Amino acid sequence: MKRNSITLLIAAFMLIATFTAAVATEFPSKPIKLIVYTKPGGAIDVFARKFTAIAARYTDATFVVVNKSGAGGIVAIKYILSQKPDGYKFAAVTRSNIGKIVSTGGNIDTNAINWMGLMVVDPEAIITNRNQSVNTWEQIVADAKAKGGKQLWVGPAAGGNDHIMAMKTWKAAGIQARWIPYSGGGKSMAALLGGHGVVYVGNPQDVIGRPDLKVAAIASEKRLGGQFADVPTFSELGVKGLDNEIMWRGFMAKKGIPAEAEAFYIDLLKKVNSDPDWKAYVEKGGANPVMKDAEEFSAIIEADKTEFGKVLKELGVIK
Amino acid sequence: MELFDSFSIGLSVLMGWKPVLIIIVGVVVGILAGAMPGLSPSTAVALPVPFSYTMEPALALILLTLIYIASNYGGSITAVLINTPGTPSAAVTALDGYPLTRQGKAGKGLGTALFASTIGGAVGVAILILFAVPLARIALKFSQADYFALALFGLATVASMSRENVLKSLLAILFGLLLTNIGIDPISGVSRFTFGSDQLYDGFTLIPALIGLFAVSVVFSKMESWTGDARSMEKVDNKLPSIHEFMKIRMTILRSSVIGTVIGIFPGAGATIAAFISYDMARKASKTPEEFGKGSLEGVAAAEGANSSSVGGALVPLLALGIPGSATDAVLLGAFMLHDLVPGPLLFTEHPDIVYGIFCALILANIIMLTIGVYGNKLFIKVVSVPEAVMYPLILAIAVIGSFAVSGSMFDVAACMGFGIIGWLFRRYGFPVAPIVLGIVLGKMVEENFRRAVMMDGYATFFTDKLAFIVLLISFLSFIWPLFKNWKHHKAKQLNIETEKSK
Amino acid sequence: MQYFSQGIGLAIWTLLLLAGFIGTGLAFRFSSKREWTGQALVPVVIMALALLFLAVTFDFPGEQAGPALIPRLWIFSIVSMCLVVHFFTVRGRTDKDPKAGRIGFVLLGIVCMVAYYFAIQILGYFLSSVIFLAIMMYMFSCRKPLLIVFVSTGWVAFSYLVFYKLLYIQLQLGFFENYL
Repeated sequence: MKRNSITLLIAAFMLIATFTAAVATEFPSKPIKLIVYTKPGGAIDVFARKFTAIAARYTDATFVVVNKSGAGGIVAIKYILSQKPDGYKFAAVTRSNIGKIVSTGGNIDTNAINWMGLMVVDPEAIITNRNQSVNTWEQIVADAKAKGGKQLWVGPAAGGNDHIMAMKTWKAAGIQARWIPYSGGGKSMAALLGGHGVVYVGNPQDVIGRPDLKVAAIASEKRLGGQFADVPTFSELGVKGLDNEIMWRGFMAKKGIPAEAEAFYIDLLKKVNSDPDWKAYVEKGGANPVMKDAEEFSAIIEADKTEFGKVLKELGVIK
Repeated sequence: MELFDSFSIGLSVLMGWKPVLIIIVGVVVGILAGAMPGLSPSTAVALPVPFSYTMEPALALILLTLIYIASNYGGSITAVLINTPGTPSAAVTALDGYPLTRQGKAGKGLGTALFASTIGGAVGVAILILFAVPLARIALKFSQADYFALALFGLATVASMSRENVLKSLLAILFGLLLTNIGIDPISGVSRFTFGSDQLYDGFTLIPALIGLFAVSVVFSKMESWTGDARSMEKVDNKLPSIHEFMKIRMTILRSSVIGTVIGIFPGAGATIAAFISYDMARKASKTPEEFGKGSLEGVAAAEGANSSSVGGALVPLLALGIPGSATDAVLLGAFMLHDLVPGPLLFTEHPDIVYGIFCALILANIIMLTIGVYGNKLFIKVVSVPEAVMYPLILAIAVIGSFAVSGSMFDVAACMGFGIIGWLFRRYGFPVAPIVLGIVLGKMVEENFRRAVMMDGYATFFTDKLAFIVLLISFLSFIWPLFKNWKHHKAKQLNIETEKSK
Repeated sequence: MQYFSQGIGLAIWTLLLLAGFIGTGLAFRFSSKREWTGQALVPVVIMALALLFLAVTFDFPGEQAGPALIPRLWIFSIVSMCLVVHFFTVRGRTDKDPKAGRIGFVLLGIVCMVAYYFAIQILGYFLSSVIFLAIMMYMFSCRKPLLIVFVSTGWVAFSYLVFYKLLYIQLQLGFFENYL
């Protein structure tokens, strides 16, 4: 009798197993977790939630945004890599994550990651304080030459996106200045507003809603639209080699997710990318909506890794 | 007149049953979240952000702001009743609030905290509404050297925190300061003292350390002296402070409210530093400084007045300039962006309904907080009569989930337990634990501003920057003075003993 | 100096500091100052930690106001402060160690906490919390089974509703994660 009931139980389990397996071919059959590397309210968290809101127009799938904050994204990426690649977890990433992967010793294998799609490109921007006498690119250059290397540039920690952009700018323009790092963009902007520095390096987005700040130059090929239409690009200003300095935002998953899951994501990213509201949201933030597939994205990752590696070695952050 | 018009716009947002419900929910949730160790104001505001996405922008932001202000009061409840600060700034409240509970005067502790919080909150909001823009401009003008001086001024309060063991307090604060150096250096990007563990890249988080040092360590101490009979903790008296007592501390509350607001305005300073500095000031101004640390109502009032008023201060740079002044501000900034809004000067002209709606709600919130607090206290106080055998295991369980809630990491739970053991050993050998918290809170501010000041203007800046120089001098004196008085007192006592002997 | 910043050098340095700590402990234990052993060891531990960190700072890039500056300032202050405290302890001018209470009970409590920490990751938060609370309450000589059951399940129900459902905090599910 006892044996009978056990057999029955096993049979029941097998039935359920086959049933779920049959359902599983239809992706997704349960809620999808979108991992975000900051706490709720962080910039990338806002980005991820906007994405899920617009994605809901094109799929019945439920998205749950899960915040795994810590170590500038390392915690979130390691979490993704530690999970089964069942396709029900993907993460929002930015270029600064690559900097962290390199600066923390590179014990994350970027080849184990499926770089599914790069969706937003924020051009790097040279931002100044409208109320200071030095606020255009020409004035910055003249001031830097007059101060002889003592001009102060403010921004986030050494070795990050913005610091690298600053160093490239100094080289391209043939000037010298000093980088004063703050913990985060907010405090750096406060320093610029208070007149403690001349230039802040960030993205056009930082100027929105802060009328005292202005973008003096952007590192993109073409001018941006909207309120940034009169901001000159570097090549217009006669500075060469700064046409494509960017901060990107995109999505990743673990390599080895089922093919139908991958197809689902690629399709979804494309649909969201061509949504007019999404375009409006991205462009309002002074960024460009793009759609780069896994192949292009991976190439960008490799280039970024090389660049971060070189700079961080120069700065003595890594050996 | 202009202000009047703006306020009528703000009030119109609050008409109807839904906004009123949102305000009450915000205050209640804020108080409860604040009382829960681990849900610090920034976490308490962050967790409902996703939920608020679906609401109208004005109501969503009102909800989050009210949670912010109410959670700063809520932290005092658990600090007073079970010596477990619900928020970091309530660590200062616990210094005097818990001794009051031990003396059976929990009602007086809670009542003082409530009154000080609501008055402080109101003062902070009033300053925010009247002077936000000019104050934010002034705060930006302060240099790195000035910020460093302010941080050092905060550190100097350690000298008066425990007179008997100045040396031990100093060692404790230095221990806290050294711990803040663990993790990625925010200036150079180098990882320091992480020994290759990526768990340590962000260093130790304040909340788990705080819960471990205050709550877990007390449970261990209780276990050491456990006699085996499970009874309830202490006799409880839920009497509120009398009018007479309230009149005695009214100046303390007002002073600490102003201190709290002013310190809150400085981006990066915040409620905890405000509470420590205001506590120190109250002690220096007090007629009965010897009662501090042993259940002084002035101590509780100074801490709570300062941390609640700092919320109004912290909202100044956020609303006036769009610059987050505290960790919670940063979350609020994200919440604004989620609704396609950017706080800052433009918000006042483009969306006056939101700005003045928040202002009106903040004023209302303080009134509601007072009402809920008076009745709530009668309920909260019952916690003290829970049997010890239930209370201590529950405190440990709360400590674990509270540490985990900060960022969903088991490492924080382990850190909380580690700090619990450290705290128990510190208590056992007469080393105070509050200075460790002060060190952890101020460490980054001291280091970053010092190094930036040097990077910008060299070491001479601390002498050429007049304000910084004066504040540094004051902190040095306020640090030396108690030591000197202590030494003189000690000498006099020794002299007495010797003269007695010679007789 | 950089030899002691990493790898074998750092290991040797750590062992030296450990030896210094044990040496101080033994020296106090078996001398007339045995009632001050704990008093002496707390600063020694902090000093050892500071000196361990000092070795690591030699690995940092050297620049003006660089990453090593402030840690070394704290380390220098800690070491000098510890020496002063130590001087007072040796002279017997600090308080004696408190009488040992039920240290065994505390250690048992710590063991329970550590076990709880691991249990959360294996059995998941909910199950291990019920067990932990029940055991702790029993240890605190609570002998009312109903109360134990009520409090432990009540707490778990509370944390499920408030933390897991309401606040979306991803409490660990342990091996149940695959079945839920």
